[in-house]
Amino acid sequence: MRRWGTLIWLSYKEQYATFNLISFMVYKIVQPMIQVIFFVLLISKNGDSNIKSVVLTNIILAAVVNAAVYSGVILSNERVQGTLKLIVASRNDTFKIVFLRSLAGIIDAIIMVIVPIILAKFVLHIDINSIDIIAVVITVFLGMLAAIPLSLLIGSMSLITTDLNLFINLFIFVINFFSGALFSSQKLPYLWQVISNFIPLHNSIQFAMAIFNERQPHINWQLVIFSGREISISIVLIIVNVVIYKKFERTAQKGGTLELY
Amino acid sequence: MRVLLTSLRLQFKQSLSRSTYRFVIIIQPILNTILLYFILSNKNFVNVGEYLFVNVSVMNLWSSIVFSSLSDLTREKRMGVLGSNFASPVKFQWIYGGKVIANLILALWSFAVSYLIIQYVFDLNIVLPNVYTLITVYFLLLISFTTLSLFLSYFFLLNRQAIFWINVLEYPIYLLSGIATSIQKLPWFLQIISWLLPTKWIVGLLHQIFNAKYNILTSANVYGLLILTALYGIGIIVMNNIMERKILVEGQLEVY
Repeated sequence: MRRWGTLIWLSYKEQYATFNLISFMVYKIVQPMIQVIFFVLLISKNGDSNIKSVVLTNIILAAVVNAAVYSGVILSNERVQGTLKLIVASRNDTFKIVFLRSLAGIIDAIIMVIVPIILAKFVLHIDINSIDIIAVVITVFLGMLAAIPLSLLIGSMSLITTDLNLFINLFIFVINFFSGALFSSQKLPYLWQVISNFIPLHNSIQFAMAIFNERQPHINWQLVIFSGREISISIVLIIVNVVIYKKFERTAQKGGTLELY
Repeated sequence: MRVLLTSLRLQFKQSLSRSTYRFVIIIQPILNTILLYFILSNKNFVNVGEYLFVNVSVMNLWSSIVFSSLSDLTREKRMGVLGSNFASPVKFQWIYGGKVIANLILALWSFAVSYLIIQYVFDLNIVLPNVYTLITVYFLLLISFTTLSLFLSYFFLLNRQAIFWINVLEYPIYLLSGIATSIQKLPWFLQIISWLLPTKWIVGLLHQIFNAKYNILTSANVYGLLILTALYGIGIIVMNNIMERKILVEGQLEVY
């Protein structure tokens, strides 16, 4: 257990080793905040939305996407730095190491949600007193639980290709598009609506919306359904991940693609 | 001039061989158009097609600068060729200028792709202005973005966190170009920054050219762009003198 903790903590530290305080703040707080402002302004052009709920769900979306991308680039960074082959060659289960390291993203995402919510009070004049912060943290936790495996799945492609940015961009688009935070999923064609239920973060965002909009009567059941779906997505994705990762690792060992060139 | 053209030709080949770049010029416009379409689908004014076209085009132009031209610098640094590029007898700005122009010409594809999607998939009618206007606007766009990109490149030459700043700059630029909201609604100090960005003037100009009666030569946006280009041109000369010296002294064009 202690080793797990060390792995997560080291990975968190390693991520920001090259940052100074200013770039750390910019990366963690300013950039997601500006992204939120951009989308909120765009959405508010429609003039029909509950602005508080839009801001909060967008903060969650920005934080989870930014934090989850890290899990995708772990392997690719290792490959660029030339340490990937050492990890693959080690006697431990490689996937377990990578998975544990990517869990550091959860700490990240929670920080990246709480600070912008406090800032939103001053910048966007949102009333934050009525927000249930524990519910927000649970939402982020659920969202990350499902987003990390998807990001890892994409990241494991770096075992066989060096062009990862393309897939990372696709990942960001898919999560943004189907999350339901930028526009209501009901605007989508029926088939896409069904698909969006299986995309990570969609259910967490619905969970958050149900809480922020305070639709009282059957709220508890809804919450259970949303969180249940998110956890199932997460479990399925982890299983798929383990299988695919093993396959890619074998291919990489055979094809000799563990180094950059 | 020969250097410029050679670098341009080489960059065509290099960029097109990278699947991420192919993604940026072909898939990304499609995705951005779809995303913005759904976000703005309740919008109740007439020219939503044009609005989509302008915004997606400018977003993609910026991506093409960011993800290709500027990140090319980081890539070259990592491969260890940036130093030799800089030390070659040919001036750095000609080599890099060729790359930027090549990327911008390729980025024209993204305009075409988003136009086709809006026109034929979403069935929103866009009436294109006449060819001369389009060529003039494209030429303006090319020179202003080339000078901006060259100017920025000097800041990224020595910066080891270049790739970080490149990613961070994306949404602030969108916001300051007036894509999400009118710039007049922003605080005054942000308005000043946005005046210094060609994207702000291009968004304004692209909105204007869809008005058929509008004479482009009377547009303040055109003069704004030209003045800005001249300013960036002076900036390039100044930065070139400063950075050339600095690089010779510090010599840090490689990863370690």
